[in-house]
Amino acid sequence: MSEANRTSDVNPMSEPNPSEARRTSGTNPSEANPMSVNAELFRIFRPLVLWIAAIMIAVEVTAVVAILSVNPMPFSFWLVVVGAMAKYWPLVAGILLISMHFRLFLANGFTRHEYLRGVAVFGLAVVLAFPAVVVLGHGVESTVLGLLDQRGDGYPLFRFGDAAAEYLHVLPATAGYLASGILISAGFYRFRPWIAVPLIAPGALPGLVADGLIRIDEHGALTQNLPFALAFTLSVAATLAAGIAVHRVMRDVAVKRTAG
Amino acid sequence: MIEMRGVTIAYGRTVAVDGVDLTLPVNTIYGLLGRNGSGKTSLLSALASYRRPSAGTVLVDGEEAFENPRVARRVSFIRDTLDVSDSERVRCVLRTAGRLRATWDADYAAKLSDMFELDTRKRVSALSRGQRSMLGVVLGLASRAPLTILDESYLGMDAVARTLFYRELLDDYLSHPRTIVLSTHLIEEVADLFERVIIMDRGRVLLHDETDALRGRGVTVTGPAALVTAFAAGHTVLGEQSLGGVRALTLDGPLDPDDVARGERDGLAFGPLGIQDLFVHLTSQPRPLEATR
Repeated sequence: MSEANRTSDVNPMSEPNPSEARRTSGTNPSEANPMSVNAELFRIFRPLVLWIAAIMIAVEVTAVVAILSVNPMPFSFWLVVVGAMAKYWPLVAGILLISMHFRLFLANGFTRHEYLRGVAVFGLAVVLAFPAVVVLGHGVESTVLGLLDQRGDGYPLFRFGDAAAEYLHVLPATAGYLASGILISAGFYRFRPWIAVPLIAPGALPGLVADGLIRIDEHGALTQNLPFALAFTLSVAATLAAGIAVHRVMRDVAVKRTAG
Repeated sequence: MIEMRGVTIAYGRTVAVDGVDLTLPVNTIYGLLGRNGSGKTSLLSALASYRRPSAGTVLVDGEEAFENPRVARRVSFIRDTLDVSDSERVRCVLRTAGRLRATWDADYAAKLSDMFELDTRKRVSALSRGQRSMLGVVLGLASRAPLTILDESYLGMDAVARTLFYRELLDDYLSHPRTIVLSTHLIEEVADLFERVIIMDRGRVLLHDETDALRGRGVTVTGPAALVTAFAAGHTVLGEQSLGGVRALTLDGPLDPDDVARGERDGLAFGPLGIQDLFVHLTSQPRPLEATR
């Protein structure tokens, strides 16, 4: 053993040699490069997103067909189901990002800050994409029902001119609930339950503030309880504050075996 | 070079690691020994930057290790509980490691999985305790990380699997030299692998030395019970074993060559100090014999 040590003239703490890694891995050069945190998060969540998308479409088609068998569509089923999912899926994803995936990345050579940056990029993509899915789906639903002449009296007709406003009425809650999920989960990850449980209340604020100030209902009514600019600013501020709090909680947290 | 300077880890009022100073030359296999609750896992957590020390620093090649991406890339810390998703299949866990680690050797991971007869189609949650340990060993060795830390990675493994693990560890170390830290309670079983041994007790490093030097610190004397007892008079006895009329005593300190020659003439056999005997002796004392910290 000592002989082996003496005969080795490489410095094992030096940076890994990528060409050596490629030779030993038996894979092509592009596969040998480590994936970024956000790219790996997209890969991890892809099956989940695809399954949920499939379920959402199946539920939408089934429910709409069932309702249409009785009377024309009086509301947007898409806005009900997917509008709710645009809040609660990010909440769940936020919880998983800390409770399940954090230690996975740390165990594979990433730092806490690298992970948090990756989560920020991933979260931004979710926050931008999910409201777009809500609006696009509403557009498709509205168009199809229009072609079938099955829009009831209360159905919110989709207009391209309103798409941006609709998008901006979904986005704050998506961002707020995602931030709440991450922050509440971070509280449980870092602290003991008797500290983390009371922290659920402030952790929930971003989601509740956004949902309380700006929302869209199943009849397509765009609602804000304050002037939109102020409501939007307050929602974004609550979400950013949660982001800062997550950084403070997670920047030097011990990598635990389980959350809580 | 890996250095720990005044590393202290406290959980509330409990001090798990108490001001440890360690210098670890690279390209070496270390054995980290200590009783339950001696602070081994806490020390390793600090070494791997899994936990920020309450005081002190860990330096790798002179760089602060905590939250340092250059250092993080070069460390693989395998805990007994495994930091993987239980719902994932083993092959997915290995693929994930392959995507995230530049030094990952997929062929070697496949070879190790075959060697351990690890069913990569199984979900992690369906693995037995021993199989989870095997997965940990695969993740640790195939990562080919310049600093590989294996914390009680043998848990639940049967004797055959452990033997395969030790053999593979040594083979791979010789072909890909790196720094490996093994924490274990199976001291005699693994002692031959260690180039250096670190013994911890109550949060402090009692001893850190080359294994050969430790073996030279004492002698095992074996022979007829009466002769051995007579020979040992005046020496500190570290360990004792008896079988029938044969007795083996582990004595502290180097012996006078004349005494050894006399003993051999009387039919006594002399061997090197057992690391386990030394460990038991050091860590079962109310006060340590030696505290090098």
